[in-house]
Amino acid sequence: MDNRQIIFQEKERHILHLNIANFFIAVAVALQPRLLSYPVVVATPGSARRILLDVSQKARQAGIYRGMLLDSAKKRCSDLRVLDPCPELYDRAGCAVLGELTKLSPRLEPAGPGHFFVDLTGTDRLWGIALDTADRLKKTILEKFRLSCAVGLARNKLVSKVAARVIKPAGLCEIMAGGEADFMAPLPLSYLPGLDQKIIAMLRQFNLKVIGDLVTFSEETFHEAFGPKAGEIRILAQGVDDTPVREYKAPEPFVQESFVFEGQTNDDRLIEKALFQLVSKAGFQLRKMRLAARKLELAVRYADGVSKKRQLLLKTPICGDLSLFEQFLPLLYSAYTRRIRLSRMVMKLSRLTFPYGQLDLFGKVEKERKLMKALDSIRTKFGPKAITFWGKQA
Amino acid sequence: MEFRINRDEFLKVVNIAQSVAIVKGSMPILSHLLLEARGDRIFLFGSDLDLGIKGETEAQIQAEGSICLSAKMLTDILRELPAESEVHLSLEENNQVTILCNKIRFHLVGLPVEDFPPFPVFEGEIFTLPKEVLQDMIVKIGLTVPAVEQKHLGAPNGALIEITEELTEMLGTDGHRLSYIKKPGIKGLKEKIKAILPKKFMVELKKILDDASGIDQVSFILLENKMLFKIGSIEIFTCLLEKRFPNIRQRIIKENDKILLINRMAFRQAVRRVSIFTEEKERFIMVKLEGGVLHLSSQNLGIGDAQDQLPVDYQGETLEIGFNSNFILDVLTILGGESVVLELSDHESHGVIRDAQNRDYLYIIMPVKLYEEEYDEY
Repeated sequence: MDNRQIIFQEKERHILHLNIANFFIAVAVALQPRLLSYPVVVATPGSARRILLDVSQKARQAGIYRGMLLDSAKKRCSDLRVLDPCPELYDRAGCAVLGELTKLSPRLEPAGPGHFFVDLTGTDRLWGIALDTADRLKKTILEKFRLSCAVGLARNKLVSKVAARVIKPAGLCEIMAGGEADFMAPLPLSYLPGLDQKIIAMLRQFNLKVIGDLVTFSEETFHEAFGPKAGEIRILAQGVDDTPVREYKAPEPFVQESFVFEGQTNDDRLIEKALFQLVSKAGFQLRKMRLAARKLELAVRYADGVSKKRQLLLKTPICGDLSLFEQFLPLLYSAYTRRIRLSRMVMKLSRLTFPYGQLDLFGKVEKERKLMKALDSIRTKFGPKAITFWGKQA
Repeated sequence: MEFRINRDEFLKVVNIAQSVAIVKGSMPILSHLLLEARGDRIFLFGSDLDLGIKGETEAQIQAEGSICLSAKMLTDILRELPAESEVHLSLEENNQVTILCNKIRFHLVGLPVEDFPPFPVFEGEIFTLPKEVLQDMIVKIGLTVPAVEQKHLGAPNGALIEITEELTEMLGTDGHRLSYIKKPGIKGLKEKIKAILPKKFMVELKKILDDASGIDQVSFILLENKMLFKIGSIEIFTCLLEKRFPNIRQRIIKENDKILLINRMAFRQAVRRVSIFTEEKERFIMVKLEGGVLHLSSQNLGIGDAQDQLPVDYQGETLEIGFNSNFILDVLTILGGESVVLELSDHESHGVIRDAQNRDYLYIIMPVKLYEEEYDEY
């Protein structure tokens, strides 16, 4: 690597860290703004020993923290609003934010729910100076998705992440080149990524309270106490981090549909009917993309919060409603085995590929293809309910 | 129960019976073999309820009796014993079996024989078929029978066998291709035999037939919903599939107008060569018939393409048709003759491949669609 490259890498890097605080809650509030006036938590599904996955600012003020048992939380806060986690919704929100970030740079790394690194190095001529780009991005995400976020901008991933942590839940903070160690020094140890509670407790025993103390502390004693990890911690404490932002690989395309049973049900007829509706919706989308699916996944959620998922990999890709339903029906009954009502059903079609042109002997595939083509054209012109199948599932 | 037996003979018969035992299942008894010592022979039964195999061999019986032993354990034990050694097996209290061989001793806990599913008795009207005929039929039809039912294509996971006084016919299809074979019937047969044999049974029967040396005839009987075959000392039964077999006679009757005589090995090599560039899943190759030459080609975007050609005696109109190369290679591998006949009609109709000398076997394949018609804009 020549000197110019090193200089470019060390001095001119612009790493942006986007932090959507309390992501699960933030997504729920974006959809139901009235939740903003209540203490809100997201808890693991199930009926017993529910653990808090995310906690809103108001709930935190009431002494509730992540990892706490829901029963204990309820004792501390009587008007607590409890939400079930909704992974599909978080995925969708995450993908939407990612879509916005991909417009800025191909070097993009998701780092957990609501956390993203973007390498803006070299984008000045395209988007203007990095600080302006970061500010625009913050505003766009708030306007488009109603998600407020904290943005940290620095020369490396570590410092940009800490900067975002410092100004969380919203704001923009840029750390200039060369000022990393000075910025980090007065911050409490808990701001340093990579230090868990156990290590922090040990450091406190040595009367180390802020990140700057880690640098000034005797190297030998530090090494004796923490072994080889000591060197690593000291480097982090100085705000040095050369890890690159990994190139983002977009996930494979898929089609996903979900159905919520109003009032929950264990009526097989209603469940099969819902499955057929999902198949019709997903199949229509698939055919619209002129693709067929090889991997079929079906997840059911019971009324007590327990989920079960089944999947099937096909040799020949399919896209017709009838073929899809034929394959999904056994999947449904292998997932739906408990004698408890269902509250939700999610269908996912992936490994999308162009439909094979292999003709079949009995013309079943061709016949279904023609039928679906006719139905799709009617539904496109007159709406999805203009024509439906007749039968027990329809 | 107590007997002495040669280790190799014992292992041979255990290997035959254990092939149908279910290792992991909800019924533990199905992972076991029923071992029975009677007269001067031992009998071993394996069953998965739908399919069962019975093997037997000579042994020095000291005390008659029976026990169910784990198929896997018994096989593993016998494999680890020295070759050509004498094995002494005795049943003790609490269904425990002791296996002795030289200074080696094993204790194996068995299950009571009452739990083992019943094995049909070879009694009733017996029919016979030459072993080679049955073997040939199973090999040639087996390649088009899917292991799992292809519901969306209307193809069951079994082959249809129909036997009359004049003909023995067998048909198999996986929805994309079908194979048909006819052989002489069974003389004096009063009533037509019609049954669907499951793919799993065909695989096991083929293994037994391949190993059976010095046997010319295979006898079988028909039970209510089962078919029981006897090959030498081995018996194998299957529950017949109670499904509707698709009506494929029309495909067999329909004749194609473009008939080409091609050297089998040259055709096979050419298809293998061009299929290097086919896409992994679809294995699509293009066959073009033009001015006395059969052009074979394939293309894989971004990787490359391949072309080859074979001389054929054809001067008609040009025809372009796509096929799955694996379907062609499968049949060219099992046909034995020097030349094959390829019959074609148009780019959307099936092709037929058969032996040039023998019209008893037909292999019909559906083409891959070349031109996708315009789809309405959404």
